[in-house]
Amino acid sequence: MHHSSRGLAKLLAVIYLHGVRTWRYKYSFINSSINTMLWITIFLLGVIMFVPAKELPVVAPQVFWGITVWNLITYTVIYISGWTTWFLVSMGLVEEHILHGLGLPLLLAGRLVTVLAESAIAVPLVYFVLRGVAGPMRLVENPWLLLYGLVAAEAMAIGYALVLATLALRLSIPGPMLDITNFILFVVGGIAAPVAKLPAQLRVVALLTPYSHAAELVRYAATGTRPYLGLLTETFISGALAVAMPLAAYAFYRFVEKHYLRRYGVRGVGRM
Amino acid sequence: MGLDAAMPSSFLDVVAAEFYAYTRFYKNNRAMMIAAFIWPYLMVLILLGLGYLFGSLSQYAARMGVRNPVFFIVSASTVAMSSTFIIDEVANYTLYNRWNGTLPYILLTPMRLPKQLLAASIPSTLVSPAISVTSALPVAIYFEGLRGAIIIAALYTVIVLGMVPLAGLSVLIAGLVLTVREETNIANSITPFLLLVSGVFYPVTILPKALQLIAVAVPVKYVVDIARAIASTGTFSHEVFLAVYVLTLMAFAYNSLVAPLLGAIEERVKRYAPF
Repeated sequence: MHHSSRGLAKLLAVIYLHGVRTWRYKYSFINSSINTMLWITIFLLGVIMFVPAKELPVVAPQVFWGITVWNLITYTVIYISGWTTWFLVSMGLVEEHILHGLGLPLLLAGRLVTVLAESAIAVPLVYFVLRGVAGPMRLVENPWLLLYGLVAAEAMAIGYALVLATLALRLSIPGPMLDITNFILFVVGGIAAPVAKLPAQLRVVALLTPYSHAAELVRYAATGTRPYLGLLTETFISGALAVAMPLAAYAFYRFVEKHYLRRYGVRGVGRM
Repeated sequence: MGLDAAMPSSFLDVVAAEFYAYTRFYKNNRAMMIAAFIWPYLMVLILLGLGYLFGSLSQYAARMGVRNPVFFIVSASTVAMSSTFIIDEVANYTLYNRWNGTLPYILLTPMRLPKQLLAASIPSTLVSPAISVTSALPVAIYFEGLRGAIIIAALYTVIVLGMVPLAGLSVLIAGLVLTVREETNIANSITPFLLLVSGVFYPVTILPKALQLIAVAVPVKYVVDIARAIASTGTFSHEVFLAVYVLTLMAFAYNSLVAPLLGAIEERVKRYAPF
């Protein structure tokens, strides 16, 4: 079979199998979406207690898109690197995939099927909760730019998740640490709120956080909030990071596979 | 000689073994321990951070009717983090052992499965809230001095008391999770649902009427009520004692209701051999 058609066959197989797997574990998957929505609602209702009622219509769309970007990023990291730890390694499936000539990066990137399906349920639910509290909202001004921002955020998240997953093949990655990073970045990393709204010191942290650039684009496309670094600069930075992060992650995986996995194998598993 | 006689393992022996396994787990996974200490502060960070960016703390204090909003949010986060651990940890205990291939050995031990799961839940019920309240202790002492430390110690007692009504339910869910053969705990959205209706960071009155009615039957609501009563007045009012009384009643009522179902769950788990 030609090399490119073999690659396409593998890609289709990965997408198909992740789709089947998501369906097979549909209760876990639906539960996860509801779980996300409930946790977000708890915090939303808490945050609303801080906001004067008359400001809610302005604040609500910004909060909604901040949550949407964060949801995509978080679940990409959990469903790729977390899944590698709790399922792929535990079940001894890493070596099997490598022996069958299916690289883990492709297999793990296929988890995007599950991430998008989860977001397709959780995000509309969050919208309805927010709408119930803040009233009707205008959500999109520039749909193409919005899509560009969301795709860029997703590509960055895949790159980050692949690095963590690769580490998890040799080290015991502490899962909660992933959550901690995501939670901290949500507030101080320019995802939840416009970078311009952050205090000066945190603004530096936000600008150093890759996701903030994509989030700024999404906010601009949705609500017209001008990006802190300007539209053109943020469009370029987001695009560059969206390409560079997955490529760097892939190179890192190949290095670990060649120098560690094929020599010493995948780490041992066990409760302790 | 029966198997039970050949392998004398009382409930307390199993609890002690689970305590040993639980503490070794943290000893060997120090990052998990650190994360457990940090988690309540992350909740505080998110709520205060977003609140600060989009509104004001004085607005929150006025609408919640609390004297010290930061101390209240820290206390509420402690309750949120630890009060529903029991459900998650027991269900995940069974799943984790299934993925690792150790579940059959647990099911083959002489002890009945519900008792085994109950024993497994006790360490996390006691230790997890202890970690959360210990992490909140510096903030409590900073804001309230010695009184803050006493309040945090009282909160720990109340959280553990709030766990007892959920014990039977968590064992039931753990069994259910095994029989449906899913990859995660399909019932873990119960945890945030209980917190949602309990009004952990907001007054229950902003929820729809149906959810307010459900909240009356949820033990966590009374734990949150106690946290709020203590944080708003700084004293142990009659509301606190009333909530403790309700929690005690719920402990008896809920576990009595669930008990008859546990045998059926055990039989189902063993028949379908969910390995």
